[in-house]
Parts: sequence; structure tokens; C-alpha cells
Amino acid sequence: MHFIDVPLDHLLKKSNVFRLVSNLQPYCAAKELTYVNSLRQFAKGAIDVRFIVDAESSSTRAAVSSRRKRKPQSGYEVRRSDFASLKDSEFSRYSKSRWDALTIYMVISSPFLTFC
Amino acid sequence: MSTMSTLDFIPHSLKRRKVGVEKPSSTFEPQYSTGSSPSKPLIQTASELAEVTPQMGPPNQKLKKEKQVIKLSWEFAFLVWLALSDYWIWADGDLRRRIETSEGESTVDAVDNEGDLAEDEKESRDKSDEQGCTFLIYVPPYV
Repeated sequence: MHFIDVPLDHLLKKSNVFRLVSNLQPYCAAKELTYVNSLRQFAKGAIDVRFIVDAESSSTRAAVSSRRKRKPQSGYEVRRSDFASLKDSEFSRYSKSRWDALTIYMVISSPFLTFC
Repeated sequence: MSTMSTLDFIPHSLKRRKVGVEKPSSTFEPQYSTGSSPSKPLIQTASELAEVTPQMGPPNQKLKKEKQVIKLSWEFAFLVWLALSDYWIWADGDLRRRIETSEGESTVDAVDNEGDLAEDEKESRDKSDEQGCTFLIYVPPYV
């Protein structure tokens, strides 16, 4: 499956989760490395984090300029540590009511939240 | 007077005036009738002036620097966990259809209405964002 490893940068920019908290402190000022450090400290056994180095980034400037513009491939990638066990798990046979029971809601309504 | 002697003289005199704080001449010295004059000036040297200058800047400058320091907490990891689950469901079309289709509906109908389903999902997400909440499917955590 092509989405085992997900670029963390893609999640931070495209995910609904981060779009929702993008105007809140301290998430608006948090960098990619902040999430990486948090994952390595608090989700060590749950999410694997690895740093990908683009091999073509070390090529010469002339080769880079002649090449078609593309997005840089280097950066942090995350993936669940238990993905192999989840692939053949019973999640694929869950019904909608079961999924509804597992749905959580994020509500931004705390008076203690400060906006950027 | 030659040009060389003039160039030698100018930096020499400028350096002397910057480093050493000379006493003002007697013509500019205030005349106090009583002995209440301060014993020494508040700023004596250029180094003291450099120490005082940052304190005279805008008061919020130091506070802004402190705000940039983010305390590391588990919430950052939790957000990535949620985003990863959300991405997983978005990427797996079969799983997404199964979640969004009720038990009575067939999968074929869901596939036929895929465009409408995507639009409905987008509208519902936009509405939920306006209300300040969004739905996420939580995949049970690793035990």
C-alpha cells in the first residue's frame, strides 16, 4: 500500500486536524521538529519517525536547474509501528455503527485557548 | 597640510571621543547653588550605555522571544496520531466507503455516487469547521 509512510510535512499542511488548530497557541508557532520531538518522546512505540534524505539533492546546480521543478523529497516521514498487524486486522470488516462508536469529535470551545 | 596627515588625524580623534567620556567644558556645566548635585553621572562609559540601551527598548520585545519557546507535550504527538488516522481513511477508498455507508446500503451504490459523496463530505466538513468542530475516525491505539 502506498500510504504506509506519510510525509509529516504533508500532514501538517493538508490534514484537517492541523488546519483546525492552526490558529491556536502553541500549534501555530510549532515547527515540524516540535512534532518530531514529541513523537519520539511520547509515542515511541506507536509511531515510527524517520528522516528521508533526497539523493538527488546533492547533485550539481546545473543538473538541478536543468531538471524539471519538483517538490523536495527529503523530510520526516511517519507511520504506525503496528501497521503490519493492522493490515490484516478486523478493521476492514467493521460496520458503520462500529465506526460511529469509534468516532471522536474535536471541539474548539475552551476559554483557555489563545489564538495567534 | 597634506592629505595623509588629515586622514590620520580623523580616526584618531573620533576614537578618543567615543571611548572616553570627557567632562563637558565648564561653559556647559550646570551651576548648582547647593551641594545637591549628583556625585557621578548615571552613565559614565560607553560600555555602561550599551548595557542600559536594551532595557530602554520596547517592553514586549523580551516577552515575544519567550513566547517562541514551545513546551513539548504529548498533545503534539496526539495530533499527529489523529492526522495519521484521518489520512489513512482518506487514502483507503474502500475503508472510507465502508465507514460512510450504512449497513443496509450496498457498496455499489456508494461507488456510483462517489462524486456526490465527496461533495457531501466536503460540505459537511466545511460546515463543521465553521462550527468549530470536525469529525475524525479514531483507529484504536497500539497496545
